[in-house]
Amino acid sequence: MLNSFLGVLFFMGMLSGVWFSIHSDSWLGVWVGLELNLVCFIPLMIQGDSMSSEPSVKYFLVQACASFLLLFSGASLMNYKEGMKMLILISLLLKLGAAPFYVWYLWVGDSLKWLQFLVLSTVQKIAPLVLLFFSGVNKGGEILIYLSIIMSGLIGGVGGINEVSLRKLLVFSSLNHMGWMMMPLVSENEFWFIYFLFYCLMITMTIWILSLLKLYYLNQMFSVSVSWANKLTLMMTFFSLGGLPPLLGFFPKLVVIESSVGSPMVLNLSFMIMMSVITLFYYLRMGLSVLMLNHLKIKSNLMFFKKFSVTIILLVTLLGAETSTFLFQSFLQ
Amino acid sequence: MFSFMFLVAFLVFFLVFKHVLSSLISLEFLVLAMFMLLSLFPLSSSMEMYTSFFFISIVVCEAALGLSLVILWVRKKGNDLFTSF
Repeated sequence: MLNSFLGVLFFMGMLSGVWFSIHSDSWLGVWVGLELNLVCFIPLMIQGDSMSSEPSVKYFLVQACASFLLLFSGASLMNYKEGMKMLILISLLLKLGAAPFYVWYLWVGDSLKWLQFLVLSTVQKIAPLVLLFFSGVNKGGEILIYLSIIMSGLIGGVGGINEVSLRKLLVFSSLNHMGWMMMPLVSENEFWFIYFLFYCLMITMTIWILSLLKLYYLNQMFSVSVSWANKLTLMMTFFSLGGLPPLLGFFPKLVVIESSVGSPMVLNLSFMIMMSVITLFYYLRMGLSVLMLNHLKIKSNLMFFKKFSVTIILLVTLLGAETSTFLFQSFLQ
Repeated sequence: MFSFMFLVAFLVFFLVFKHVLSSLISLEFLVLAMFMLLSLFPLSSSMEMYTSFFFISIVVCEAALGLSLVILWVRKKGNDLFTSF
């Protein structure tokens, strides 16, 4: 849909809604931006799926409810300070799709095509995360944010073990990464945004390959139309999502670990590390069966990469961690 | 008093319904509670109703969007029950 005029209009409207919400002074402006974001994203969601509106209705109801909660808590903040801080936190976590408010994200994410899933996972998370950082809820609502970090890590790790739908797997991995992202956010360290940018890059690369090959379920990866080179690149992107060095996804986790080690978040951090090992388990399990067992014998020819973009994706995944250490030296002390 | 109205509206919104249209109606009840909170409090204290324009226009857009989504649902599935396959 992005080829047409309306597609560009709605996409720009979505981005301007995010922009307006981030830069506004009052809670009303925040709400206006979030509503604009919602209203412009829904047509993009409907377009890809032969006019099936079921994920759109679920998404719309949940997000509208969360926006109204946010506006209500913003409007009543002067009178009921502590309770409303908790309510702001609840509504922003509901908008994010973090645990314990993740069920809508599972339902909606499982019914979308890859492009809409990508926009849902990256662009729609910018505004709630920035609002979480700037609304100052880490003074008042610590118990809920720590609970959300731990539950996101746990559910993102353990929930993906029995999944065959690739979209649901990426939803669970997104949950785990949300937990990791909220750790520097709570400690008021600005690195969470760089983690978010790295996560957007990694998941864009993964979804690019998956939408090129039109794979939606795990058993489709065994078909003969997927050459070995494409499978290798896909597995590299999954491993970088799981956080294996020397791939791209290791660097943000390293910086979060290094910055949280001295602080009281150490217990939290060790739990998150254990949970991300579990996510690595299901990526590795996927990679084992895809890379090593061939269901149909594939004759791999010497012309490895027919598409240039797949080469770029492999290069960024393999070499990205080294180059980004030079760029972000200041965070590594 | 208006926050009590909001809480009741929120409760009504997420109690389980059969029809999608009823959850849209309860969303409008939420909007009504919010409208009272946003425009009647400043009116009673400082004679200002300026922000209600913004609020109402955006809420109307959202309600129209919700209604068109329900229409798509009904066209695809034949009824607007939540549990239809």
